[in-house]
Amino acid sequence: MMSEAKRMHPAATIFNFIAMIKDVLIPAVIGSFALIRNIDAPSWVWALVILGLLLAIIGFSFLSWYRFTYRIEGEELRIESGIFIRKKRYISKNRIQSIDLTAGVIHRIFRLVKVEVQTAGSDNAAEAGLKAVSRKEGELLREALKRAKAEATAETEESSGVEEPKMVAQRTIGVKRLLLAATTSGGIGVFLSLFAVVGSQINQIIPDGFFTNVYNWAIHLSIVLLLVFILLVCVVVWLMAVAGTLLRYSFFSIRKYEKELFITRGLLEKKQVTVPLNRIQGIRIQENIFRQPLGYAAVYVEVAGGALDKNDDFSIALFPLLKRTEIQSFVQEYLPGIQIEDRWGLLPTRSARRFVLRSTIPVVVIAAPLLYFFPSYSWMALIVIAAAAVLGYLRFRDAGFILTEKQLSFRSRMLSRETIVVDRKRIQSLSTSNHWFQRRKSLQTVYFSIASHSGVGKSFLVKDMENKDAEAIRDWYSFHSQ
Amino acid sequence: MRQPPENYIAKEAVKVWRITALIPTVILWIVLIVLTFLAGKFSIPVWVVLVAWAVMAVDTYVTGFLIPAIKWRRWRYQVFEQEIDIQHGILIIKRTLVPMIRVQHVDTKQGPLLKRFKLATVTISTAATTHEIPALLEEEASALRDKISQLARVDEDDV
Repeated sequence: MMSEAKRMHPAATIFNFIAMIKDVLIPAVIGSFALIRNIDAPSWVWALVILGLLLAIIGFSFLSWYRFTYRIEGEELRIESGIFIRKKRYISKNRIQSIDLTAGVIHRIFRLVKVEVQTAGSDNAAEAGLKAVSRKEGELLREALKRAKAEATAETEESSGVEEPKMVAQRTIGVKRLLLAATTSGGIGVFLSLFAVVGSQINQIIPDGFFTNVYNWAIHLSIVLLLVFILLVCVVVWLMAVAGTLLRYSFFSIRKYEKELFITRGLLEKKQVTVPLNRIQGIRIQENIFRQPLGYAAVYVEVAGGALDKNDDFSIALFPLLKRTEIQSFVQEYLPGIQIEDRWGLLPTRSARRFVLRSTIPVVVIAAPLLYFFPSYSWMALIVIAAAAVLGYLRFRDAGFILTEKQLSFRSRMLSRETIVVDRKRIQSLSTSNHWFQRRKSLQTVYFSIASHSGVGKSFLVKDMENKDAEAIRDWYSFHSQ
Repeated sequence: MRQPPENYIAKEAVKVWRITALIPTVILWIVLIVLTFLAGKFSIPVWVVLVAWAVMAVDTYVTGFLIPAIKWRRWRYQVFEQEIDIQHGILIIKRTLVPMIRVQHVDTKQGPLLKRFKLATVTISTAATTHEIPALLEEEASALRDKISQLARVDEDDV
């Protein structure tokens, strides 16, 4: 088939170059910034140093492209790489979980794709990544690596095997839906944390007096101006979140084949993900605080095995935005094994107090000294405390479970309301726990864990359930009580 | 509340936990004794020293004696044909069910302290979680490991 060793497209040199700049040069420069600042050298020396470094990096980029070869031999994908230390990695075809093709901006200029081969191993990074091959080559590779699997299964089942799998269903995201998804994404948190990271780096570069100056300046502004400023920052951050979602979910489409789901998405970076149906552990419905009042939710699948989508917390978006009323039929169509029900078993009213206290106490602890030292701002603290109490109550009201013959659903809220639906046979272990305060009120917490990426697992829990409900769930899960 | 699992772990576990808990405590005691001698030099009031001694005494009792004893009493397990039932916890009592068909592998392991007391820990891993039954007698642990791994070898359901 493809037994001769091949190199990637020469453009891979560019990707090596970028990766090296990112992984080696920039951290080195930032790390030794203080050192560099104190060296007194004429500018031409610096120019020479930089030129030398760039040449070295280009040389290494080229060499690592030159030394990287791949071939398919027999039932294996064989990759050899390394400049000083030669690495050989052989991946057996039937160990391959998924093959993803991605095309970033630079890829698309050269009509290339990145190929990532995932196995069930405990490696977070892709087990084998070809940074750049032509699109055609990428697709050939995917077919070649997949075919072995089709043949292997064809022996046990009577189907003829190698022909194109039949598409069962397809759905794409409309412009309206996409815009709604973007504006309600609530990805603000991500960008705020990004700001924090950038901020901590910038710290070393900006002059010492800067912050005191800014602080003095801010103190002298009226509180109204300050609020306007904060609002402005929020708007900018929100716009960035909108842009992020647009980049991510433009041209989203999901296709269902007999044994797998095929998802493509992305504006600048085109991503294609294959999800084998038998690796799906459960589905998660997330209604964030902006979407819930509008009756919309995002639907994810929890998948066992390799790292498929780092940004999604290792769950994959089945569809970025669905009306709550559409979810049932959507899931019916794409994952007929899973039933979405709506007969929630809720928590007893005596749990409410515990939920409210749990979310309020930490805020009170933080706010108390502030109240003591800055009594004039107490109204702010009180608003925050009240908000925490309301959130606690919402957490109580939304917590619940549904137990059917084969399925368990949990619903809970941190900020977003999350629903998880799993099959009994996907639950790896189930626990109940209670502490003194809970025992006094006959309440229990119930957890279950499902397999996720790299053998780590994810757990879901509902706190302060009625004793007999918790016992019922335990009995349902236990083989012994049947 | 239903019946707790039947089996206890080895009684010697209490000793092991006690030793582990007392190592940092002993160091703190040494520091405290040294400080007591130096108290006059740094003009530390006597009541501070007394409070420190009282706190240390209570801490030694709680972490070194009370907690290991309660922990042992709470630690139960039972292995059925199709599942493992584990209970543990001091303030929070946690009960876990691990079905045999979910068990990926079972290990026994032993640190220097456990080895000294001829004990071993059994670790049960699923595709998502790891569960431990700490401090069983060596032969008991290996028998349990063999038993679980044999029971776990039922028809492989897809993960």
